[in-house]
Amino acid sequence: MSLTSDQRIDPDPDLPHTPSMPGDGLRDRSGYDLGTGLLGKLLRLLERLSARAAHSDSESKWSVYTGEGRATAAGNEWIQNIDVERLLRRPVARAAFAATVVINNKREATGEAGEAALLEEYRRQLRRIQDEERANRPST
Amino acid sequence: MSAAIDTDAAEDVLDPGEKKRLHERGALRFAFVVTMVLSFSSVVVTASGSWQYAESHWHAYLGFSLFMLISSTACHVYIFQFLPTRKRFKSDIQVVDADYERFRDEKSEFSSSLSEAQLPMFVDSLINPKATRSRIIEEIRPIRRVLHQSVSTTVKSTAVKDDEDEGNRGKGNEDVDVIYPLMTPPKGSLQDHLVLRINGDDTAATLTYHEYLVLMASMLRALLAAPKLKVSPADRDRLDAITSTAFGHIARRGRIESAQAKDLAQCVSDIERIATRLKDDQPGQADDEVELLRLTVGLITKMAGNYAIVVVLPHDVFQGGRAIVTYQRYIIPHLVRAPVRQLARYLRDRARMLLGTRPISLEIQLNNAALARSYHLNVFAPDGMHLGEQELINGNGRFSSRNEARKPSDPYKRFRKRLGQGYLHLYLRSIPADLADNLRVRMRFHETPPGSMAPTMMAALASFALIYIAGVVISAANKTFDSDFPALVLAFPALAAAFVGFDKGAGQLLGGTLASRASSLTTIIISLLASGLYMAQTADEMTRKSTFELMLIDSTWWQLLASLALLNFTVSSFVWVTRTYSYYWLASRDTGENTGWDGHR
Repeated sequence: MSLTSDQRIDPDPDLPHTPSMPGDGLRDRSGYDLGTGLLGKLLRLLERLSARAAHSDSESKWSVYTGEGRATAAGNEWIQNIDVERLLRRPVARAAFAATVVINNKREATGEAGEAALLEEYRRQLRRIQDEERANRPST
Repeated sequence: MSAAIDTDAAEDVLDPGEKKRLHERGALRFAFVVTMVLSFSSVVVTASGSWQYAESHWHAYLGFSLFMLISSTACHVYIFQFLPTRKRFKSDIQVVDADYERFRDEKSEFSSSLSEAQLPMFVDSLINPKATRSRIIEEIRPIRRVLHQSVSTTVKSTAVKDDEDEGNRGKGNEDVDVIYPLMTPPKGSLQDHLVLRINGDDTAATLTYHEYLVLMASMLRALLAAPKLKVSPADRDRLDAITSTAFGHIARRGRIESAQAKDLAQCVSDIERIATRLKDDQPGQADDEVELLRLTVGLITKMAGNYAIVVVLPHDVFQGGRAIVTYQRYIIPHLVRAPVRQLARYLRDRARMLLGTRPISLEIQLNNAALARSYHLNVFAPDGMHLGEQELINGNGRFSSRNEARKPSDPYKRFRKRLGQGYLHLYLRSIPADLADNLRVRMRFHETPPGSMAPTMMAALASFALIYIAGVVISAANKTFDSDFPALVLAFPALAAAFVGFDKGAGQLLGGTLASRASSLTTIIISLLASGLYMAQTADEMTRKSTFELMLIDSTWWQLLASLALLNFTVSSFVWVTRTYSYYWLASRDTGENTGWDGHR
């Protein structure tokens, strides 16, 4: 009843995939398929029972979330392709942050007038940053 | 007298409706208790009293009494024991008057203190945590019913990095205090006993809710400034309206409900439409503005569902551009019980519950692993336990195997080998958010020998020895002694088993002492039965002789008790020996530590 490696029957790649089970493709010297015999059934039963016993997911346990909710929670699909660090270093972003800080410090800039002042300040800051970048660019 | 007056005063505080409800509940409880006592007495008298012989319909009375007893007990347990544990807590969701314009235009000391370097770092830390968090070291310690969590984060100051990287661009940034979102928990979650520390000291100051809203308003304003200049006037007005609505969602306390989710989705799709229009109208000319719009959507959607606990990190805490910020809090784990379909485990679970033991399994969701490039988790076992099993779940084959050449940015994991130590150490690196969402680590802690099993086994041995000696002597002498002292001696192991088996781990979160408690219970029962049997035989009862001799005992009942006591002792000693050996097998494993490359010798 001993088996050699060449007596294993490789699964037919054209057949639909079925999960491999103990006893699959095993034949004894007389060519009897053990998978369909008593031994195969016994192996399958043992596999099922051991898998069930080892399936510790079903035992009572303490479970805890230690983080901040799902990392891919709503919104992240919008930004997953953005290089946030690079974007925040671009002149438009730097100018916008600089303009916001300036307007935050202007007491009179509130309401509609504040918004208009912000956009005006943004234009000014953008020009400044672009000029600085142009000046710092190495000459070729 | 004064106490009585105080009680009256306290009762007056209750409103009449509440007082009436309490009185009704008390009356109902009293009625159930009276019914239970009467029906129980009726069952005992009907089933066992001599009264049944005088009454021909006693079985009908017995059935009725049983029905009343079972139904009233079930109702009592359901109404007064179970329902209060399921009572829903009505949280007071506070609707904040979040007028965007008011917070946007506020000219306070805080709004004026916001600097050009602080704002980008804050938004970067919120949206892209890995940019500013190089390492997270998380420690979990079970304390009674809760876990004490300590999370130390190494924060990099990008303001300083700018300075180093690009000459004078960030000049002056090294003097800027960093506004850092330490935690972004989901809205509706309460942080218990939260303690914040910077570089180990108790010096962390957090922003107030009002300051947080001013910060978020400034953030939204800055992110939309560039796109607003590129879109049409109609879209600009639309962006203003969307920002105002979105800010309301950011300011709102409590979880997002369906109406708000719908409203939020509308805001998102509106911004998306504007972004698409902008991209189509100015192809290649407004890429940065489109990305800023998408970043705004990310910020709005994240902060509508989460709130940020923001700390101010003074510039002088950064050493080499890094500071270690720690938060500690209590978290309450959820008990997952074995399902009924796994019958064996279900029954074991219930037996464990009734005997007062705790689960030995702990499962931790590894969301934090996605927040930093490098993540360490240390979970400490309660005293007297060691790490028995550890397993990473839902890795889905995304971790590189031992000999597989992968890129440094690929997910990587490493466990500290089980060597009988009382903690788990897991190291993870480069974990993407989608992997961290389902990634869990499961561990089981086992008792470190001798644990509770050794004294339990000794009690089982004492019980067996006394029962065996009593059985052999009584069989040989063919009579009992004239004294009742042996009955007391026989009952002694019951006392010892009760003392050694049930005193351990009562308040711990983890503690698998099912085997020792079951063995102790068996010892108690067998010892008391032996004592009772001795007393019965003193009165010439239960003196039946067996047809065969077992372990030199010929009395049937002593044979039975001695066999049970032997079985109990054998099983408990087997468990003790195997557990002891498995611990020492673990402890004697090679630590696997590389002591250094020793060349080509």
